Amino acid sequence: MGVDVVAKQLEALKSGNIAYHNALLVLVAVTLFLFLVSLGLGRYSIPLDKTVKALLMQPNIEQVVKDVIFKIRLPRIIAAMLIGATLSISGASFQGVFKNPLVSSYILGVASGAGFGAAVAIILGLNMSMVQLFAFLFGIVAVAASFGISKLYRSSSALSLVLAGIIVSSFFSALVSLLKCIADPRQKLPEIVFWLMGSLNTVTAEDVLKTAPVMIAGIVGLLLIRWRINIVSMGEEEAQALGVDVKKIRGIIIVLSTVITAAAVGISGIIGWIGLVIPHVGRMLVGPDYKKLLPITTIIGAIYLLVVDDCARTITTGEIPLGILTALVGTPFFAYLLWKSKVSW
Amino acid sequence: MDIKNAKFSYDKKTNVFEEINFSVQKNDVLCILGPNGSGKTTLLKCLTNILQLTGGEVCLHNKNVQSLSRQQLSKKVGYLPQTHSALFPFSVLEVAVMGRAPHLTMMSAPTEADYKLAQTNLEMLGISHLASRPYTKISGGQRQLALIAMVLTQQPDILLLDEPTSHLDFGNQVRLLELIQKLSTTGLSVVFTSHFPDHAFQLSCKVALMNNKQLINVGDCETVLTEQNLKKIYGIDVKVVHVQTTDSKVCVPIRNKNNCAE
Repeated sequence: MGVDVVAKQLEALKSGNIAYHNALLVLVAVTLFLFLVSLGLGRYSIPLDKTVKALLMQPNIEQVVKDVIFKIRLPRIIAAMLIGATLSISGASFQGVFKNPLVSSYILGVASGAGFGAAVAIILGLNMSMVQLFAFLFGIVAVAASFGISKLYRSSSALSLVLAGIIVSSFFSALVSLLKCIADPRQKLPEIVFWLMGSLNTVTAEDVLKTAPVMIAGIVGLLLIRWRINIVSMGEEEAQALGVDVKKIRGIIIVLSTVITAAAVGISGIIGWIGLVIPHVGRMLVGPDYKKLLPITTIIGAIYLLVVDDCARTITTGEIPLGILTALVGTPFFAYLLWKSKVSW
Repeated sequence: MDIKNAKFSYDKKTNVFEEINFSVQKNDVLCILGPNGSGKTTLLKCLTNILQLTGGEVCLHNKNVQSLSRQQLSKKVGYLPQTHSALFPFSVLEVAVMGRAPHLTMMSAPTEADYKLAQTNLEMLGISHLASRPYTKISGGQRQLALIAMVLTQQPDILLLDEPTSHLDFGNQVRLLELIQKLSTTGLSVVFTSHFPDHAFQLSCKVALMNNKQLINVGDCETVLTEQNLKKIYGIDVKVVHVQTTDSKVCVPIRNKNNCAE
């Protein structure tokens, strides 16, 4: 009889795995479809069949279609997908490492640091790629500062890191406010404000080529060690007893997440709510096991920011900052999620 | 596993325990008894190198545990914490399979064989019907059993169980003690802490009594669990009674009726 139960449970496990693989397949298909549709969306709209033909490098396509697709839309769409994936996977990883469902990719101060770096570069009148570089570097500086401060507490607990992150975030936010005050209100100030609200308006193919390898490498790294996040989330001592070097794996996850988030924020500005909400959507679909959760979360994040960015560039003739849209969509959706999943946190 | 002159202090001023010496052989079952706050849990954590001794050493097969890597150590020593709750609602099977972590490389995830092993252990503990239930939504006792399944899935040589019977109902307590006995005959050593001297009698195992920072006595339960010793560590009068029908001993506290009078 016992063997029967085991066999039955394993059967259930297998059907769970099939459900997961099906979800993965469907999501990849949806991503591909939305990718093609998005290439056609915009002021100059292109039908789907033409888009596909252009992508397949077929000869009888007008130059203008090729230009719109390859020079304007493709970099932006790839950036949107990568950044959505990056923010989601780093948010989900942080939630596991910090054993806290309310943290996001920005908890250690990467966004505030990046905001400060960008504001400095803008005030100094540097060009766009320097703004990105400053944002990237100061994002990493902020996280390093959080690490350093948490060390002062002589405790290696995840909570002290989160507290240090809040301290550093507030500090850099204050500096950003200071810079806004002294910035030239006609030119520099609007630029800073728009940067802080996030946009993919100015993304170029060059930006994508520079940052995509970093983001992809980080995402792959996190995916490779994803099962271990389960164990870290069970608690420090428990993970140690299971042979996991908690400090080391936490360090690896934080470094990977920080570098990819800083790279993402560098080219997009600050886009909130994705790193917090999307992992919860993933949990609703496939449960909390990081083995399944992380791939699903990554894909949903890519889809989400792609759709949001499509809205940002097509709803009005101007551009709506992404940070505003993700918050407008994210907040009510998060409230709905908490109600729907009857979360007991 | 040999423990020599073990000493530990959280604040480097007062020792939680000192001069602890004992050894655990293959097939041994050792029950650590002691009043609340006597350092039982701290001692177990030192044995598995979660906490590091401030003096003395813990040796596993003649190697200091501090010289072993976490992974090496956790293949040999399994540790069950006293209380535990998880944040994320992992299924019981997902929790049990985490015991495979020491046997997997950093970049791999458990395979079907690992899940099967975990499932078999759930079955052995009588909770295979809970396999797909969320770990956060089951009772404390069921969680305890799920965690025991996890340490068994770890397949260690030595099991360190911190109050494994807490939260368990009467039947499950007895079943768990029987399981400990069974495991010890398959080559495992089990060290567990308890608040019930009766548990040691049921297993007729070795007993270590902790009191006032020291092990005051280590040996067979028959010789260690005397009325005088129990009085000494718990501060109450206890009668050790032999029950003829089951041929076993039990401890019965002697109530001082005068204390209850008005």
